[in-house]
Parts: sequence; structure tokens; C-alpha cells
Amino acid sequence: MSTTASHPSPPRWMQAAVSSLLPPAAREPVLGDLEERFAERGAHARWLGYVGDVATTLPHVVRSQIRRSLTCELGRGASVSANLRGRAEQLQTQIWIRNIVLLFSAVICIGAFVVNARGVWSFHETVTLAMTIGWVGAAWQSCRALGWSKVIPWSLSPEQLRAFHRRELIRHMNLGCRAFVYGSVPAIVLILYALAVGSPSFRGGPMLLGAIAMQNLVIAQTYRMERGRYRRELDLLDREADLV
Amino acid sequence: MPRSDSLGQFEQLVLTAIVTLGDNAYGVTIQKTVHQLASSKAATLGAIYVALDRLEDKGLVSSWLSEPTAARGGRAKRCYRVEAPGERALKESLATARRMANSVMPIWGDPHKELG
Repeated sequence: MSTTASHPSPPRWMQAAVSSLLPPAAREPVLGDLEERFAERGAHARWLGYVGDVATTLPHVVRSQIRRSLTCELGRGASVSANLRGRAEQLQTQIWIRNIVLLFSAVICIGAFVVNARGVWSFHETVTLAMTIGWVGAAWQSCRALGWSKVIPWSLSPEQLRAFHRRELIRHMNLGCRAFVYGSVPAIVLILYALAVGSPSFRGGPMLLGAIAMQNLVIAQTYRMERGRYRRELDLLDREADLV
Repeated sequence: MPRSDSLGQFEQLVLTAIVTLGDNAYGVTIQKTVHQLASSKAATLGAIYVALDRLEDKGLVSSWLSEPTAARGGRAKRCYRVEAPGERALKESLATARRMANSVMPIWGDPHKELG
């Protein structure tokens, strides 16, 4: 437990773990509130209280932010959060949700593969291996090519905030096919490794490659749709800048 | 676009807490005040955040981040204030509660005495 002269605070690693699980829009105030409550408690109840607070707070905050993110469509003036900061935060929340969903689904796929891959190698193992490799590749692609969500500093002036939001939108719009091709490299290496080591008599290579290609196509199509939304949001930013 | 939904009981409590706290209304203080107001129910911090988000989406409250403070590890507070539609909605809820109390009290007596 790290302690300053005036007040105790939870260890940094714990705060970092909680921070990574919180959507960027809620990160700063929620972490601050949790730390304040941690400091208010007696020494014997701090740890348990902090863990309890995190356990009861996180699911609510995540659910609420996901709901807000789903009901807000970028590029529409009549959205729930029509102000610039709200829209920028929604974009970061959407990035966070996408990365978290991909990472969790990758973990679930690995778990399913491990559970399924006992005994004789058969069709089911091939499918779960394809899903696992595809999703791990997709998670890797998303996190590498699109990056992690960012907390937007409150100190930014309206102009700096507009520039920040514009940079983020352009960064996401510039994702091209090349990123998907590069993103597939580790997945293909993993396939070759699995073929060589895991099962020398394995004959499902084309099907695996097909499954990976299909998943990449779906992801590429999703990103293309997202690019349309980002384009509309960029147009809205331009119109607002003209008005200013 | 603010919606004209009627307020749930928890939303009424949260709005009342924000009104009574004035400029010092943020997650922790709102939770403490709601806890005092609803003496029979425990309100978690998570439930408060959800209610605040919902009220903000309805346009009943607005929020802003305060300056970071050392007591919170250099983090800002998200402070809340009740907007005009929120004030109207809370007043309507209070008037309804008062009418209900006036109708029931001649039959049941004062509920405060019964509940201690």
C-alpha cells in the first residue's frame, strides 16, 4: 500500500489493473472516487472495502458506458452526447469496448480449444483451432493497428480537443488493407507451427486458412462501416469549425 | 434530446442529493447523501453512477470535471448540477408525494411515527 504523508492510497499496480478495466470516459472520476473511499476507511477495512467497491462499481460503470456508447451514434448532431467532449469520449469508449470484446473472446477461444483438444485430433479440434488463431490474430490486429483507448485530458482547450478528436478519427479511418495483411502474419505463423508440431498428419490446412480469411473479411467489412461513421463525424467537426 | 420520463424513486433520491449538496455533488458525496436519505436501502457507488448517467442522458443533470486534487491521487471529480428540466421533474415528484401523503394520512396516520 503506497501512502503519502496526508492520505493512504491503493497500490499502483492495483489502480492500473482497475484503470484498464474502466472505460476511458469514466476512468478518472471513478478511480478518484474509489481512492477517496479507500482513504476514508480504517486501516483494517481498506483492502476488503476497496475490492468490494471495485466489484460492485465496475460492472455498473461498464454496462452504463456500453449502453451510452450504443445509443450514441457519431456524426449525428442529435446524439445523446451532442457536445464535442462527449463525442470524443464516446469514440474512445467504442475503441475500448472493441478491444476488450476481442481480448475476452480470444481468451474464451483459447479456453475452448484447450478443453476440446483432448484425445484424438478430429474435425472439432480443427474448427476450434481455426477460431482460436483467427480471434487471437483479430485481437492482435485491433490492438496493434488501432491502438488502445485514450483518456482525454480535461486541460485541453476546445481547439486542442477538436484537434485531438480529429487526429483520432483520421488515425482510425486510415486503417487500410495493409494492416489486415500484416495482422494476419502471426496467425499464419501459428497455423504453420500447429501443423508442424501439433499434428503431423493434419490435413485441414486449407480449411483453417479459409476460416482465417473469412474472419479477416468480416473484420475488414466492420471497419469499413465504422469508417463511414467516422467520415460523418469528421464532416460534422469541419462544419462546427467553420461556425466557430 | 431530453426525454420527459417520470422519475423513479432512486432517481428522485439522487436528484435530491445533488440539490442539497450544491457545488460539492460528485460520486462519493452523492452516495453518502442518498444513503442517509434512503435509510432502509443500501446504495452502491456503481448504482449511483448508473443513475447519474441516465439522468444526464435525459438532460435532467449536467456534469463537469473539477480541478484535480491531491487527496484523490491527482484525479479530478465529476461534479453534477441539476438543470431546469430536472428541477421541474423533482418538483412534480415532490408534489405527487405530498398529495399521496395527504390522502393516506387521514386513514393510516403519520407514517413517520410508525416507521420510527
